[in-house]
Amino acid sequence: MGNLIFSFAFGGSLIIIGFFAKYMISRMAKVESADKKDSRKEVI
Amino acid sequence: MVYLVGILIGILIFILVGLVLSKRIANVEDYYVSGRNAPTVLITGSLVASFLSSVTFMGEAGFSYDGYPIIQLILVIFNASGYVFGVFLFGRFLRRSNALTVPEYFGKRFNSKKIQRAAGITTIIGISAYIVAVTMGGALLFSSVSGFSYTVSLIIIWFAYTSFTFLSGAKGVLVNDTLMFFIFLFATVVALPFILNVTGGWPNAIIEAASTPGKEGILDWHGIVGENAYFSTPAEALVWAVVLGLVWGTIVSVSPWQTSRYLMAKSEHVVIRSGIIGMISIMVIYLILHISMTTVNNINPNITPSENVFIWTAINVMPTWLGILILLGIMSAVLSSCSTFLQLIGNSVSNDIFINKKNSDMSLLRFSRIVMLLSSIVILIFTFWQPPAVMWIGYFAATLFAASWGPVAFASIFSKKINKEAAFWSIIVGFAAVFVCEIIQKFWFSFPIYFHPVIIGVVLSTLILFVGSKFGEVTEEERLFQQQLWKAPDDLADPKEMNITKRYPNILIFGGALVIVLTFILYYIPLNLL
Repeated sequence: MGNLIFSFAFGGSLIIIGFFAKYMISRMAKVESADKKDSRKEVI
Repeated sequence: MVYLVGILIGILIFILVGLVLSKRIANVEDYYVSGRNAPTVLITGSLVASFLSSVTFMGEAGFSYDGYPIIQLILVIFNASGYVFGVFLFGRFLRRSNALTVPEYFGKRFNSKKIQRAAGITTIIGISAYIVAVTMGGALLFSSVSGFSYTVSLIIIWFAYTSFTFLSGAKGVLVNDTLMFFIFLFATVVALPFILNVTGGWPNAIIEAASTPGKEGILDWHGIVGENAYFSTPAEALVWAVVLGLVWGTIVSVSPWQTSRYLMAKSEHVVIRSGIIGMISIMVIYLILHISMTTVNNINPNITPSENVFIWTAINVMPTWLGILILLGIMSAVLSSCSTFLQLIGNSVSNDIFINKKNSDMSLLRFSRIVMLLSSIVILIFTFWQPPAVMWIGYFAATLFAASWGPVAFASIFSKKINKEAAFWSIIVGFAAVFVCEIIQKFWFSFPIYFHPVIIGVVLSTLILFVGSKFGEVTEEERLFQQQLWKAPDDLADPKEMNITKRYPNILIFGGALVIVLTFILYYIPLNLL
């Protein structure tokens, strides 16, 4: 059973971290676009 | 002889690269942080090359051969995750500080030269011990392959990494690290089918290795357990892997020899992409190395010392060209770690201990080069002397940074309450706690794995940070700098770059799916279904 769990966990950790990275990047992109809007408002 | 010639040609190429790139060093920024314009491939190459050393290809490969391949891979899951967590929670903010060294970042963040010096001194002490241990290991390896004496081998190794680090600074280190990364990545990946072929072919190589006489259970997830084994029970093995994995994950996230690479990145996108590729590279290298080294038991279960298993395989089993490549790969892993360590020591001595910004750029550059050379000579003298217990010191010196820098590094980004006094004492107490606990372990008694010296150090360091923040005050400069760290650089908004960065997590996700298939075919099916 432990061997089976390992077989999935090793590659599975890459998938989980991949989704974490996806979440962090999309959050960064959102903050960026919000900052841009704010700075545009300030200019107006 | 042919192996020696191959290694010497490789070393000569690294020195020539340093010589050529030294002409492109125009100022201190070029020397310390490669002009802050390195692309993803160079940052990834340097991250992985400076992390892997002779410990990986000798010590850890031997531990797999002795009976513990899978438990080491479980450790790697936590360890390698440190690359991605590290870039998102620390590395990208570190780059925004525009510091030349990581101690300088701490100094700027807390507006304190005292903290910069404290972090600089921990860097110099911790990394000096590590570089002496790795240089000694490299000299012994070179001596065993070449037949030269230890002294001659040491001088060759020392001259190789000192020359290109001294001449070309960060530029030479980045390019050579990347060259070396590709050499050992290629050697490890290409060696797998050859090793599987001579050890019985798939699936027999795995089936036979699993029942090696005297090493039964070697391919079970927990490795060999029992009274005379390294671990008494599977649970003990699992706790060991998780605890050490988390410790090394923190080291990967905050240690100077990893995070200083982000200061050289062209943009924040490069930092994120490098962390992602770094993680997948480490996991693939370790998976292939540990499985293939275990199967060597099928053709020779009595290699002593076991840390020579990859070298023995390269010389006795591989075609000559691949044997040369493997030996050059192991030597590259040694040289890449040493060059990065030397660069960090030299930079910290000249930038963090002798803080002097009034000099002109050229005189600072000259001063940095002289300090780099002098630091290297001191390291050579220590390595000649072969200080007793240096291997032991070198091993735990790396872990000092998890306790000494870990809590302060993350809190410096996310906490508005921590102040310079709390940060200073947190660095000192974390460092001292690991040091004292390791001495106690060495001379008196061992702590259980869940009270690993680094865990004690992290707890004390965090406690000091928390208590110190309750009593001290945050100055206006500290508050403004912390706010500044959260201001995204302009290049982050570039839609074209952002679209490319958004694709990188898919490499992890699809790579993970491929690794599951590879692990299943290479390991689980032969062991459990055939």
